[in-house]
Amino acid sequence: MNLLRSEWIKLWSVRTTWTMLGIGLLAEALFAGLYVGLAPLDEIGSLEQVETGTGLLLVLSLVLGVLIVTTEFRHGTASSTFLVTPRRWPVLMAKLAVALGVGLLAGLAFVLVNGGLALPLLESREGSLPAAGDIASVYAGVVVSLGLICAFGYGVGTIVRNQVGAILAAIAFFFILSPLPELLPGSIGDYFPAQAIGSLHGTEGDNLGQIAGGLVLSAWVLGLVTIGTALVCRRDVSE
Amino acid sequence: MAELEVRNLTKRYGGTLAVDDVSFEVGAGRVTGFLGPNGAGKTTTMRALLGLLRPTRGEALVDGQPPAQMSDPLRTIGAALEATAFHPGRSGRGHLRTLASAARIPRSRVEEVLALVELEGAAGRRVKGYSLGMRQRLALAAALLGDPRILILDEPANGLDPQGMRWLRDMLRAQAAEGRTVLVSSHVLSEVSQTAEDLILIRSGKLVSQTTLAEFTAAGTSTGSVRVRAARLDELATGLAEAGGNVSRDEDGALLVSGLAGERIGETALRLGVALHELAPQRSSLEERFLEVMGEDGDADPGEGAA
Repeated sequence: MNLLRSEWIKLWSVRTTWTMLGIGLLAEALFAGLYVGLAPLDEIGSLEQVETGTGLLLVLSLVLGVLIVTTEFRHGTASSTFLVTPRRWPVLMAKLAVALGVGLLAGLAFVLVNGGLALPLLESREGSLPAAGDIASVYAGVVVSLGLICAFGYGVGTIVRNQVGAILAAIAFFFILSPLPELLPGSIGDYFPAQAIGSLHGTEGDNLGQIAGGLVLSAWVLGLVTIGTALVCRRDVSE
Repeated sequence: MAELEVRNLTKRYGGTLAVDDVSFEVGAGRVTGFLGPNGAGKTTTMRALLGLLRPTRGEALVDGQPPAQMSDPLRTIGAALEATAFHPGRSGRGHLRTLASAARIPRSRVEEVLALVELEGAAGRRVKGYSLGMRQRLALAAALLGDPRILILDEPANGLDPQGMRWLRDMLRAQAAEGRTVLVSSHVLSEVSQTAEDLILIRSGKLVSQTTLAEFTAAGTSTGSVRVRAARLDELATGLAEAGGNVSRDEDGALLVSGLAGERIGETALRLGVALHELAPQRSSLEERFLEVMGEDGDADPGEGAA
């Protein structure tokens, strides 16, 4: 518990965290407002408008997850952290929990902004809303995906020590390479992280379904974190 | 059992041996100076003692145990490392609070150590704006946070102003007097010669000697020389030579006298009725001895082992 507290304080005692989440939510608000408010109605379609603007927030959560671990090595605070707690894996588990936590929190903030802005706008234009249950399941998918993508970034950060390298690797893996799996035969592509997020949000036609999408993304996180934890526990801390 | 012990410690980074088969013990109740040129392997040895890196061979022990097995690390060992770094965007107080909360240390203790290192005024500011001296103080505050029995400080005097150095010396002495174990590294002898009783000398990753300051000084072969200028220099030179001094001239024409203490030179001048214009001890014998042991310029070749 004390490690969790310590990591939580670490996260919120730098401006980066506040700035990144603030920008993400502001962008989400702008995008949701402009898109839902101004786009032609027939383009808005059924449920897609509910999750408008998650893109940037996903990227920022991913990067924030990377930073949770790489800043410690970049600025040399890893030394003091592991002096206080020489057994490293509990520290790493606390960081994983914090990554999940801040991602979920970003998700909840998203729900507040989206629900408070996009939904009323949509209702005023269309006169009606999608079924409450559908909206709730999309929201749940977005919240869980933000938590998991932040943990995914954290996992990449434990493996790739260099901060810039880790951020680029995480973004490349998630977003730039994401069209590639579409070219793969069968449904293999559905098991890639970006596609799993699509499934998790439950708004893109052909996919695994929300639960399976969430499990696939969790499996990615578990794999990365297992490898990363083993690496960090073995490495010398000489920064 | 020694509080800190290094046994046949060897650490290899790629092709370089940063530390090569070093063994020593550090006991409680005194300040131990860990001396060597930059790149001699001091930091590597200290990091091994803190469990931050794995020895290639040998071991580093705290209370006879590997450091990773300490049950209450922050209350056992406090450390300030040379490269001790902080997140530039976090305040000094924020840095200490993260450490305190991880070790279940109350927040009031954070304020205590901030006061102790005289950093209260800047504690709320981001570390980005700190001077080197302020960072050193913050690192010391972090080391003292758990009120530890053992202190490991890597080049703590770097960047401190004269007042800060004096404060540091007093603090180290006080800590040792309370029965704590204090290991403090430096590449400058004068920084530790006023506080350390024990000395560990290391060069190019190898232990040169473990000794006490008294033994180290006594074993010196060369004594310091004194630069002398006076009204009737030739007369004084003769007098000093008769008194047993070894007299030569430096490039400015002043006398360089070795083998005679400053007091004797002054007395000789008085006896001869010669007015002294300058009486300046050159290097202290201690420093001369240190350079003798460490090699003349005190800095290792850059290629010889990483820090």
